Amino acid sequence: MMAQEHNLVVPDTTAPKISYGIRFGGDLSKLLRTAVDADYSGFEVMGDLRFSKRFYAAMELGYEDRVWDQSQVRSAINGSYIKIGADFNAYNNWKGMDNAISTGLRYGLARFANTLETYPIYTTDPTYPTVLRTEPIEFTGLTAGWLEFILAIRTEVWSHFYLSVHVQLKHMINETKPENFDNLIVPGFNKTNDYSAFGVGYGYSLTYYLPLLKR
Amino acid sequence: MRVALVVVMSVFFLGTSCTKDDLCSGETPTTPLLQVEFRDYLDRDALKPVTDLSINLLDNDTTIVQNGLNESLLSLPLDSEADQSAFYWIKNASDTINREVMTVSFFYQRSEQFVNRACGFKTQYTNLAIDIEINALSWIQDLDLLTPNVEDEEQIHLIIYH
Repeated sequence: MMAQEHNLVVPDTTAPKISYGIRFGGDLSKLLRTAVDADYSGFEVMGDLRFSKRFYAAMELGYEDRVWDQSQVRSAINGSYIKIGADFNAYNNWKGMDNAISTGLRYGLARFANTLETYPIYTTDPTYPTVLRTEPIEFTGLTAGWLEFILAIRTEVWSHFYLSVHVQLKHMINETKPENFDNLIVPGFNKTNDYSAFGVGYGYSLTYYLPLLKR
Repeated sequence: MRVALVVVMSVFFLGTSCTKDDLCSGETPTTPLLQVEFRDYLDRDALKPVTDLSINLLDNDTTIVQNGLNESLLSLPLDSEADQSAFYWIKNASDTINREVMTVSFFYQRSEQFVNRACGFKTQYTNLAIDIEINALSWIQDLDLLTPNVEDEEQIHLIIYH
């Protein structure tokens, strides 16, 4: 009997320790898009803090300056956003590894300006040609809040450096809309949808992990 | 990892393949056309098509708005760049002897309304007024403006008796 009790204790003392620390980095896809897309400039920095074996507190901060330019509307949207939430790592790592297949939830908040730059009048009849309206109309102090579900894969590419790919499914909760216009894009939310509150996004990021303690 | 990557890719693909809002649907109400109904002057509830109706712009006679229409319903565009639209309404247009011309002018105020990202903006017209010189010899004998606001094409805006 005594020997059995002794054996039960042994696995606990030799269980692999978990490294707790902070991770910080930036979104590479937004930098790449800034470089190649004339209608886009933006960046995003992010960080997370591990607080249990599988859970991480996470945050993103970003700024986006974008142009919606289609035949019937051209508008410019710029502003900053913050996303706060948590990630859950569903991946069982081998000892000493810290890769992740994680799901996350965020509350996103954006504050932005929306400028209606040009638009024609849409008519199905060609009799009277319409003239492009070019007087900019600016709407400032707009806000939006949304919930965001994230699916991410993260892998260590260099010692302490991690590359991750993620996709986001968002649902708009509240949004101040400009009078007689709409927010076609919301910074951090991405393109809005005329027919529903859903939106999507993606990104890939490079982060550095700073271990603080093991236990 | 591989399975997860496929899941991630497919969520991304599904999300971006919805392009429903990129083209303006023909069913979306945009700038309305004035809905005109032609009725019999003597039997005011009876529809009466106008024979060979052609409509030209008053300030540019060569611009044909309608050509040889034989219907009792007319959809007429109003200028979204000016507060008035004026036309020649020509009955029996292709008959050089019996053709009858009337000048019909509309005056209104305009407002621009956002529709959606695909259609952009539309014009709506309010305080509509009509100027037609009706006399005993004119082919139009009476009119009835049902509403001064042209905001959609769901209803008849104007009845012309002839």
